[in-house]
Amino acid sequence: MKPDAAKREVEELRQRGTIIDLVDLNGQCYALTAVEAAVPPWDSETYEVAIAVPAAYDNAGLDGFYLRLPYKWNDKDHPRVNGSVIDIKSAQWKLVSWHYADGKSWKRGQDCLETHIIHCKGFFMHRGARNDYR
Amino acid sequence: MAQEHDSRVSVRTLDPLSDPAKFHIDENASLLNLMQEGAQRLAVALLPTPTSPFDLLHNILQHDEIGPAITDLDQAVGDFIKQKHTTRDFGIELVRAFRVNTRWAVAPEPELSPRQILALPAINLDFQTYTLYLPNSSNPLPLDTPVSISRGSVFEAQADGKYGYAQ
Repeated sequence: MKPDAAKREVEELRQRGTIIDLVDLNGQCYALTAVEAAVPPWDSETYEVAIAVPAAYDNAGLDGFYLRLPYKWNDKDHPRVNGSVIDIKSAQWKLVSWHYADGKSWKRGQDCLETHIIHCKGFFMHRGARNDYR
Repeated sequence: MAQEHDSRVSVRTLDPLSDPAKFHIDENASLLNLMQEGAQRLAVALLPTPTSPFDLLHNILQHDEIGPAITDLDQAVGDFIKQKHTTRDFGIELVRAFRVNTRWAVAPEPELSPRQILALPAINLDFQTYTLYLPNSSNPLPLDTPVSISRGSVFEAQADGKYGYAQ
């Protein structure tokens, strides 16, 4: 199911030049897009990410994302790319443990797909992290 | 080749003042079409998009006086230039358009602090939640230190994150 709010936002983002798609996988909606990364430590300047969009979006918010495999970080796996693996469009995507900082979780009316994509980019740029991964 | 219903017009950029691009345009074309054609001939990209520019179109009046920004860009070129006191000469004012994430705004000053940028109505992000960065930088821009903004500048506003548990 593709929530109406997500469909509206995706259309607006496309009009502003963002390449983004919504897919439905067994009733779970994902927004597929790409974000830039810092090279090194990452082995690519861009990565495809999948953002799980809850059916009740945007009353329910966004958190975390899946990274399309394969990837390398410092020539190995990143310790926080450690969640479940799903299949979307004949590729494997792994859940990344990257969340909003304490006390700054998703806020309807302020946060949206656009801001969440930039939040996801922060993982690859190692910015805005309020704790360490080591 | 000029057609029966074509008008010869000129378009230049204002500040910096360019040489005018002179061309024929259908009188039924809109002033937005004229602006787009002029910008293309002047090798200028209208921002944020050619179809909905923040940039402004002015009529250059007699004695090179610059008229007010034209608010109705949907009106036909022929209708406009037939009005009293108008001319066939136009100028494009290139505004200080910039974006944060995918949100475009016009900077009222050449320098603004991140707090001021986030508070612009077209940006509208809470400075207590969002931190401003340059696109390929991991260094947050200090909240109250002005940064230079030029036409086409890009910033990213990001909500802070935290890593979850490692396995």
